[in-house]
Amino acid sequence: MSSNTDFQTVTESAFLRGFQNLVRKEMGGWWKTRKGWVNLVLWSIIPAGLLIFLLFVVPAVAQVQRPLEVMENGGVVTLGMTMGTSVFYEFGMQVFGIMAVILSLDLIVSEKQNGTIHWLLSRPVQRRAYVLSKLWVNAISILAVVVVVPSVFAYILFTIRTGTPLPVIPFLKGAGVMMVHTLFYISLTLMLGVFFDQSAPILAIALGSLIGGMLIGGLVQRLMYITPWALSKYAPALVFGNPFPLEPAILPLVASMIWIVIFTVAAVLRFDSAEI
Amino acid sequence: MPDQTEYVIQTQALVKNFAGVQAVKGVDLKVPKNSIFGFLGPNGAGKTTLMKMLLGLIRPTSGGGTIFGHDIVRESVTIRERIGYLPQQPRFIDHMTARELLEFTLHFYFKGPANKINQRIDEMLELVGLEEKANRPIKGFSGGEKQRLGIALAQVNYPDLLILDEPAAALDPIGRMQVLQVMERLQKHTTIFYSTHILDDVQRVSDAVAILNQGKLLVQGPIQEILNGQNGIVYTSTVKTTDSAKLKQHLSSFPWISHLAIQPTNGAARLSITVSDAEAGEKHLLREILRDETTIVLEFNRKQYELEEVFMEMVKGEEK
Repeated sequence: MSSNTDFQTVTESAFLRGFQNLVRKEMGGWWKTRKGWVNLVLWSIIPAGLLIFLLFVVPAVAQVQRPLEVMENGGVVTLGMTMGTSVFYEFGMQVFGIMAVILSLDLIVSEKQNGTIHWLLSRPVQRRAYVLSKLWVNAISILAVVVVVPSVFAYILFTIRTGTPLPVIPFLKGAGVMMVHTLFYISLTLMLGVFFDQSAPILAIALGSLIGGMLIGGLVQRLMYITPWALSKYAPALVFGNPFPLEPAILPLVASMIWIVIFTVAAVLRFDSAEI
Repeated sequence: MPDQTEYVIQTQALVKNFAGVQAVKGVDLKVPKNSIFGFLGPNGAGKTTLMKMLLGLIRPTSGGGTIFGHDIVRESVTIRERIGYLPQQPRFIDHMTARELLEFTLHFYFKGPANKINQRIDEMLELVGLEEKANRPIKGFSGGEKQRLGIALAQVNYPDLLILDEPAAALDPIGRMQVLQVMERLQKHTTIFYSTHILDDVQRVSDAVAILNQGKLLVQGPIQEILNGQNGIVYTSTVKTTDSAKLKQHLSSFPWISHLAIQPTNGAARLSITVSDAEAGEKHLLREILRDETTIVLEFNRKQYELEEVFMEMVKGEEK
């Protein structure tokens, strides 16, 4: 038998013991399996295909069938951009949120149910490292697949449609808002995965917030300031200089970021004392 | 009994309640260093709960314990650096191959060098006979292969203590035999604390045991001591005698004989003699039976209990 003295021992902060190795495992779960690549292809084709349809096909068909109406709407370019940006930012952000919930749903629950978690946590691993590695890798991967890739396609297609490149900084700010919105739902779902042992209540709460939020926010306007529900209007406002739906405009963005921190801290604290 | 420092695991009045139900009731467990310690009990006795407390997966309701002198609640990560664990129904990361999973596990402890890591992985695969399946995804493994891989994973960092929860329960006789052989091979390097209800396995490989029933520790100690019986050493003998009453009177006069029963069988008498002093029993008992010249000894044995007998007696006694 070889000796343990032949090895270089892991040098890692005791506070986050096991984090690096768990990150490697989570990355493998995304990118060494079909999961990451299937999602990447899916989230390249669907938004790009939809945008091509809205930016180019629909205005061209409308121009042939209802030329007067198209002219009243500012021409094929304006009509295409109006439809394309509205769908990409407002409808798209909701869809990205739903995808974030679906992709984060089983991160912890499935390992609780199948017992992998017992084996993992019997290793020299801090529990906070387990939770944070899940959040870190899945946030990066989901944001890359669900927000970054579609945004790159959107930027290229918007530029082709308008004939001039869109200003980069406002576009990046818009993408940033989409990321905060998506990250809110990733962290919420992850936290719920710590609190619940079944997927159903997680799905109900996360999707309830996402879909029901707009309705509730419509009834109680003040909730829009402290939730991410108004953010779908923010991204197009930043990119195209439209007016913000709420003033002070920064409040829902800051509130969403604070929620992300709260969800993360709650997940870590709860998991630290959980009975596995 | 071993010195206090010779115990790897020590618990004191360890209690665990779940929703008002006491799953573990004040257990004082002592596992000697370099032993293969069989942790016995019927299903639902609290074995897995106790193991989970040792691993820091759940917290004791009261009481406490140490492993390698470290507190099981406050110093759990330090303890887990020196432990290998095999869960009852091992489920690993299915998309990885056996080699990848061993490498992943090893990286919780060591970062390199790569050639040494690979060497250790090969060694572990050979230990459990999975060299040929090293590069296949785990999701295609049979139950027995997963179990053997689980043992390799538990052992990959050369832990000072292996905790195995029912390591052979789901295996066929050949798989069970292989697991026991691996355990025997590992004993010289590590302490093995394993739960089971397969008593034949325990009697074959263990040198110490504890019996848990309904959360209560009924007995613990070296297996030989337990097999000798808990109520003293018992000798059995078949004799031909003309006066069994006289023989009984004679033997009863010795203070080291704590219990004596004579039962007539087919023209002979069967004696069951419990001695409280092992040495006196060994040296004098047979001589004293033969003291009466008319007595002929047909058979004389020191009674060896089967573990199953001890286990059933204790568990049933407790339930009464």
